[in-house]
Amino acid sequence: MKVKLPIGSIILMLVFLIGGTLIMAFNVPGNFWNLGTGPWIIGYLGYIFLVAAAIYHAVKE
Amino acid sequence: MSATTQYFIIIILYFVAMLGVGFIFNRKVSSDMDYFLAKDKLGPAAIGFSFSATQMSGSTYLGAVGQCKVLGYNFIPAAIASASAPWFSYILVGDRMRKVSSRLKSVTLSDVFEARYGKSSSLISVAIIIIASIPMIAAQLKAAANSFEVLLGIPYWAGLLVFGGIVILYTVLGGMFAVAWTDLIQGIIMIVGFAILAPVAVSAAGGFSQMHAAYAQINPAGMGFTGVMPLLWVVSGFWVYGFFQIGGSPASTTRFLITSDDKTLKKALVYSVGFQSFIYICFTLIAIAAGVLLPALENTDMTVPMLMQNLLPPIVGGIVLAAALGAMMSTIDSILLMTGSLVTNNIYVKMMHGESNSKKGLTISRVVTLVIGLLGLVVAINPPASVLWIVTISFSLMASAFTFPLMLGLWWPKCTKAAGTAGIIGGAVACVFWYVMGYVQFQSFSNWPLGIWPAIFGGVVSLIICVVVSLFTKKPSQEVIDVFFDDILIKD
Repeated sequence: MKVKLPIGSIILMLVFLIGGTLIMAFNVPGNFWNLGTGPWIIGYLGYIFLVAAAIYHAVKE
Repeated sequence: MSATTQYFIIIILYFVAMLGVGFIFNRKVSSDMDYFLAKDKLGPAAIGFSFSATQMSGSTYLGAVGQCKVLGYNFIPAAIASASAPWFSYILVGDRMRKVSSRLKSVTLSDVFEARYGKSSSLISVAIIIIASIPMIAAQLKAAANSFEVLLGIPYWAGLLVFGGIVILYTVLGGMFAVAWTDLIQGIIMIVGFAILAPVAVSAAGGFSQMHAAYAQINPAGMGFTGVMPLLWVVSGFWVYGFFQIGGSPASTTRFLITSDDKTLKKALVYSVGFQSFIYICFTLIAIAAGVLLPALENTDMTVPMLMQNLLPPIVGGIVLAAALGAMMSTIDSILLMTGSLVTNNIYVKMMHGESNSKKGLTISRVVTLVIGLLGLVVAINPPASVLWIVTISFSLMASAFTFPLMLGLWWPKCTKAAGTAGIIGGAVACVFWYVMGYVQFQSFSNWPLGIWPAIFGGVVSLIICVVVSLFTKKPSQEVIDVFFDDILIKD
């Protein structure tokens, strides 16, 4: 028995979880305003991804 | 006018407003169904803010800010994961629960478990939720009473009784209407509170760049993701606070039962994610600033109250305090309502064959809500030390037990009745086992073998049990397949 899955959102979730994990595990080079690139992404920029993903689901799925 | 008087004015106005909402909606509630769900009577903003305000508790404003002050960016993955929790919950569970619960006329999460996995799973889930919920209520009450003690000089027991009495009263009177609307108001105050404190704290710490330079001097290991805590601790916190909220926050998950409309729930998701994202960005800034401004503060639960006292004029600080109280109230009222609905619906109506959707059911609902609130108050009189870890243990227990049985129950037709029940039990047992192992190794409930969070260990055990047991036990009936999967099965 196969079911219809929200494929787009599942892909985005995997990007979030796996991508986030890799950023934590490996030191991403760069430093902006005394903060490394990894903390910039996880601490601030990653929220843009989240909001966009939520809007994507609301509009497209 | 003294600072304390100004705090009192804001807090009293806030309490009066919350009670007012309770009294207003008391008139709208005519049955236990209205009381617990306000079915199809709430819009997306109320649902979205209520979901998020329930998830974000006193531990967000007090405990977690304090932890983040100490751990720095080692803790930040847990923060963005928390903001992602509504995204995982709504998409992986919310919409499916909305559809299934409309067909089943479900009132509680345990109703969904019962329909999918049978009565045993429902009773076990009721027991786990009640056991986990009373300490969570107590933790929020403790956080509020501690704040009153520090900022207003009110004795702990008095703060407990006043704060606890107010939230119990408006919940008993107004049910889900009062809970959702107070959650919306509290959510707005939470946004305003953090929107005020974050820039003020960052500015006091020297601005964004200087603040980070200063923090790096105080806690260099806190400028990256590891150093204070091991990588596995950080990564598993990232997974736990996001994905595992699916099972770990049944009081929030109940919001998916409120509406039968697809568009309403999707809009609510955007409200939730937007709201939580804003809060956690501010949370990060406030925590790092606190690391610079209050490096020697030992009671980390008092980080936000001390920043308020040091940086803000009292009237403005009162708004921030109201925001923190709002976070605690929104969690308590949702847990009270959820546990009340479980006892009334799953025990009184289903086990004892009482009347549903009736005035008698409504009276029983209110009495049960009151009793559970009072139990929380009793536990809060002499609770354990850290708010954050009380909440985390309760959350981990539920996350371990419910996440995969719920997800698989809604998406995998081959997950059997025996597997779901075994998964709930196995997950809970595994979580407790991991906490015990951590205590044996470290004499602490906040350190675990290999740094792996108990919710992850318990959740994985639950998943394995669900899959393996499904392979060897009787397949779900066609009736279950029709109710749960009719709209998503791909027909050959």
